[in-house]
Amino acid sequence: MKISLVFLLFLGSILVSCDDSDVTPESVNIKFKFNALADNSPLVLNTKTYQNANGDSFNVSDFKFYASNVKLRNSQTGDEYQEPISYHLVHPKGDIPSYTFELKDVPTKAYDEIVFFVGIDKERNASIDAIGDLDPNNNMAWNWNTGYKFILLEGDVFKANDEKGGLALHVGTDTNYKEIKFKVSPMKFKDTEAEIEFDTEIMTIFDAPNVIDLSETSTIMFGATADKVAENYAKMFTLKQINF
Amino acid sequence: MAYSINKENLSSIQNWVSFLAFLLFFGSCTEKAVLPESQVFQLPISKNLADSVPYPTHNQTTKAGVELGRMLFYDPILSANNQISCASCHLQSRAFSDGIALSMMGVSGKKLERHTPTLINLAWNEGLFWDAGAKNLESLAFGPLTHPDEMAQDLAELPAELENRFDYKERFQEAFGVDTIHSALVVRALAQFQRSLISTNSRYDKFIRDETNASFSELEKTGLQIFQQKCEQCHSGDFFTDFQVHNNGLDSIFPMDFENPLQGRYRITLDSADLGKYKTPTLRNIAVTAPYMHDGRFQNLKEVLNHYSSGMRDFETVDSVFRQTDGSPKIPLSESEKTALLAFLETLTDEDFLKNPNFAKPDILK
Repeated sequence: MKISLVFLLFLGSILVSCDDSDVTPESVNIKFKFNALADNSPLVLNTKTYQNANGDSFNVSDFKFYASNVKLRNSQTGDEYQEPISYHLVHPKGDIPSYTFELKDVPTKAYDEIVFFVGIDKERNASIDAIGDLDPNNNMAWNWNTGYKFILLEGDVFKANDEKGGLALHVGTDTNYKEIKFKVSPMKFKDTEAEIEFDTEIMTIFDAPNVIDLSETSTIMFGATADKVAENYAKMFTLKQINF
Repeated sequence: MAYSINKENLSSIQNWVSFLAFLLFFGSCTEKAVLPESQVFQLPISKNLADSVPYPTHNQTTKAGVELGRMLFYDPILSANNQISCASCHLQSRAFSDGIALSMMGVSGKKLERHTPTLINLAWNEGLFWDAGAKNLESLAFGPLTHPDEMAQDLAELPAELENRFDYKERFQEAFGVDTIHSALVVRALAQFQRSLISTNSRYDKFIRDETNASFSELEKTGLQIFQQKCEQCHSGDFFTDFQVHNNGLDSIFPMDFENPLQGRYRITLDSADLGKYKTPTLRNIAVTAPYMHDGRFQNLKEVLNHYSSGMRDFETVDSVFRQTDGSPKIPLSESEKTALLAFLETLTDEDFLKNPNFAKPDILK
């Protein structure tokens, strides 16, 4: 009898703990993780040569961009969470380059849309006296033409005659502020921690939908080509997984 | 987290409050500012210029802010070699210009590509630099601060340098309510000081305000009339500028390489309609701010007037205001009209501005 009672208590505690895990917490911290990929494999900085659809060979020494105004939304109920002061300099680093920022204390609702922007909204882009991720010291601000680079990709372009030229994609300006939106099945939070993981494919910046020709100019900052690059970077994200 | 202020310095509750308040007013340009109304400083101004001095809500003008800005403006610690301050090229006696066509005063010693502009009544400007590329005073100073041929300052090093100098830590605390110095706050303080550089007490101002003892000679009165007929379309109102960009016929050929400063506003917009367009400079204190134009090509005001009367070069973006009935660009001016204009322009010199002790180098830096 005694043993059975202990067993029952034990069983009960399992059930209770199982019940616990099904209770939705009131709020959750959600990590946004961005992996930097090139040709579907982790981006290799400096040492690996890549080729774009135009046939230009290049390597990458640095890659970073702003993800801003992050929102989670339920398209049915209208429930929306917008991160306050939401500007993140995504700067993937490491052997398998990735960058993570965290949304704190997000109310646990059944969000079915993930929204963020590449770049800085017009109001914020009109002044560069900022600290933290928007500090001009991050090499992401233009001071002679006020505003932020939304994306920076630097490296070398290799020409046919073994010559090397600088590769510099510094693209910003208000027109190139791009919304990124993912529809997902309604989120069901079980824990106080969650993670949303994105792949960021840098070849898309050069190849799709616009093929960027680096043979003529490999310094792309303003104008029509920069706008084409922006149309491309708006497509470089895929949602890899959500861990609740 | 996006706005990670140095947290080890934020130990007390009081500090947290100021930290949060800082974030609040920092967070959005439309938010209310953190400073109590009592600290907001109304800069002195005369009605003929404007009713009040505008400022952005995220950088309200305070006495402590203006005074800190003045100190920073004159402090060579802001340059890479700690030998050059803003005031090295912006001299009060020349209405904060430098008397040199193209300066070589910068850290590298390399000649700059544009002439040092005056700093007068900047609060009303919507764009700064000759091509109006900087959108506000809070962004402007990052340019000269970091340019390798100007002050070449590493922004990452600047806060620590300042924290170890004079009583800057206390001054930043007083002006901005924070314990940690950031380069953004350096530039904000500089912006506050620059906003205080108001010129509104020239002989012209006193004459227009009908003050006692204010009078114009007949020649100066004639000059004013000619000015109103032939110049004030661009040099308009008591600001003596329309704050716009125009092509005033200085060049007919423009370099087309990327980011070339001699393209004018085109460098910013990449719109061919903006080739050769530069901001209309104010004419206040014009008699003490030679040489003239964005590259300082004219040594004196007579050369400037000769340019407009007979030296303009044609290009498709030359402002239509200059077009004569035959299509050629110029401002027809007789020699006697030029003499009268020169006499009038002298009346725009504001000795109170050029000698205002509030704009001068602070004693601590002498």
